[in-house]
Amino acid sequence: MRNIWTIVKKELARVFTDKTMIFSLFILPPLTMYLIYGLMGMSAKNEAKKINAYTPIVYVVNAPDTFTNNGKQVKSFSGVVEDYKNLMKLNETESLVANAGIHYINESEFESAKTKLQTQEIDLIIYFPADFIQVVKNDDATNKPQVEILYNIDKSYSESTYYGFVGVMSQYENSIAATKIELEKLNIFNEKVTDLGDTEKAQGRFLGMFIPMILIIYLFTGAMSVGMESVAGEKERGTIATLLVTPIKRSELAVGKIISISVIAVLSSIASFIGLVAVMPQFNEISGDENLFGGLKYQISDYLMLFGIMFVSVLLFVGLVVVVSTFSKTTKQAGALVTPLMLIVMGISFFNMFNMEVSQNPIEYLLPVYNIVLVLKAIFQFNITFVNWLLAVFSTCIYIGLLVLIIQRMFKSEKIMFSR
Amino acid sequence: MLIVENITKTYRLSKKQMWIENSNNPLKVAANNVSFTVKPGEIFGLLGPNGAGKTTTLRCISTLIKPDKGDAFIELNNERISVVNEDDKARGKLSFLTSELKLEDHFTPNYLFNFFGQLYGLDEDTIAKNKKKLFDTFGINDFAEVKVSQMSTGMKQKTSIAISLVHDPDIIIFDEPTNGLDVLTARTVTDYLQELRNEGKTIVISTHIMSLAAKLCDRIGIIIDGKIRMVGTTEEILEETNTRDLDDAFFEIFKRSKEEDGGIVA
Repeated sequence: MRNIWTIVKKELARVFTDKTMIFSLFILPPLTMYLIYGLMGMSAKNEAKKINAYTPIVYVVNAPDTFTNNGKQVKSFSGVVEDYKNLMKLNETESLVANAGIHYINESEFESAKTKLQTQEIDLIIYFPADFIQVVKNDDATNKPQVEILYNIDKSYSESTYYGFVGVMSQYENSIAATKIELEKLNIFNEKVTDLGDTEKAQGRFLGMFIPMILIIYLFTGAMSVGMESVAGEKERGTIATLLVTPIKRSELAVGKIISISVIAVLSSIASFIGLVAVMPQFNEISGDENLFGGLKYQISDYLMLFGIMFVSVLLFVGLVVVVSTFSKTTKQAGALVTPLMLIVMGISFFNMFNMEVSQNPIEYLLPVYNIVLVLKAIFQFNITFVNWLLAVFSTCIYIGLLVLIIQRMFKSEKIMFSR
Repeated sequence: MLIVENITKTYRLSKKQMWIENSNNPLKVAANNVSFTVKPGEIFGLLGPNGAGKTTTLRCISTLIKPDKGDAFIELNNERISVVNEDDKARGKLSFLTSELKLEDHFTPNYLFNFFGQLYGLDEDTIAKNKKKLFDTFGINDFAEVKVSQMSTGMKQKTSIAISLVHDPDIIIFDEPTNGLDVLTARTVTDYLQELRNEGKTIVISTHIMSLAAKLCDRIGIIIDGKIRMVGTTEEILEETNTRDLDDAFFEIFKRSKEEDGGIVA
């Protein structure tokens, strides 16, 4: 036990007295995480801001004036647009319509307006035929007036302006329809829509999609950056042989290495996690859900289970990386061998990313690495059962034990330890 | 006392190694029934050309690798420790120094001495006492807080020797101890080895330098192609080969060994 502690102390001293290692293990990962997601969130936010600040230019050709149909007054199109704009402002709804600068033009200017749309000077044209009012009044089902809406997909926000004006057009259509029939009569029944689903679960589903993947990648890379160097690097530099001629048991050396790398990997993961927490508000922007994190209430038990599974995950990943590192003759070789391993682990976490429903099949909670993804996903989706969590943690502990045995055997093999 | 009995170690050569060695045989017997005994207060020299099997033999004795056959025993205070079957225990009694064993660049001699002292199970007082003695002897105090990465070859070798002796071992095995050292540092090392002999330590060194073997070793074992060809004091070897110096004696033995093995002497 004393020898294990001596090895752990030395390994920790190796890292914590090296500024480069401190920076690359504990500062760089959270910083990159904060920067990447921060930038993503910022760009989403900026985009939303830009849309709100944008003033689309809309040309309306032959806008119908007010007229009487079946003895009822129809508001002018410009009047409907103003009403709609006021409604938007009243409800504080951010809409391109509310900001739109509307120009009413006549038939002769239609062609030049089209050119302006093509050259991206304006965003939208709404074209009413010159005889629009007359055709409406004729009320001929076989001859309906054709209202054209033109936008330019190449111009930013032109399409969005079109979608904004769909509401205006619908409003205007209804106002004319009201002169033909009593709109109230069309309302046969009232609908009351209630969402009986758990809002938290819906939000958790979003988190469950990508958080396990992010966590696993960070836990694995934390283990990788230290683990890869720890044995292969020492073999390469000839320093492991110096340890192997001391009376320390091979098993003590193996366990000491695993513990120290795990401590460093856990600390590195915590640093990354802090970066993740710091950047969490940005996820609201990315997901478009304003209350994504504010609305979620995880229990203490959820956090404990999360900590438990993360803890065994780190040990498992460290075990895997140390096996590869011990097998390798140089750090370079270890790097080459650990890459496919990382891809497999990442593949497993990606594989489950788009799977909305989390499996409750106990057998799946025994599969190495996959069970970690399942548990993380289930925790975030409020779908975890204690039995499944226990199965995953217990089976992962068995895998860790097997890896420790393998590493011990490898440390005893002169072919592996002294091969050139 | 160190008793080496019939140590045999065979390596499997890769195709590249076979090509380098110009051999069709994928198996290379690096040590072939090597036997010798070293008494306390004696320096035994394993003398042979490069690739003769010196390092392999010493690595087997120091438990770094296991022999295919044979064993070595450490006899101390009526106790007999097998290096093959009780390797952990044997390591506590011996010291092994070879150029393959390196010190971590990031640490200082001070840190490393304490670290290895702890691995040998020594208490702080013993570590401090041994450190003072060894650091004074090799003049390490001047660079005790300098990182290994910033030290010269001589400084590194001195530190390696001091650390290998941290636990004041009874059996000392040094593989080419003066390799790469300047004359002054080499002299410090050989002087200290003589001092250790006078303290009653059992010492084995390997070397290909005849003058060093002649000057330092009480007895010499000449090893060629994995086999011990002759063991004796310098005088006995000169008498047996009817030569005047160890250089000539070595060449005579080399010639005989090639004739024995059916080879051709270049």
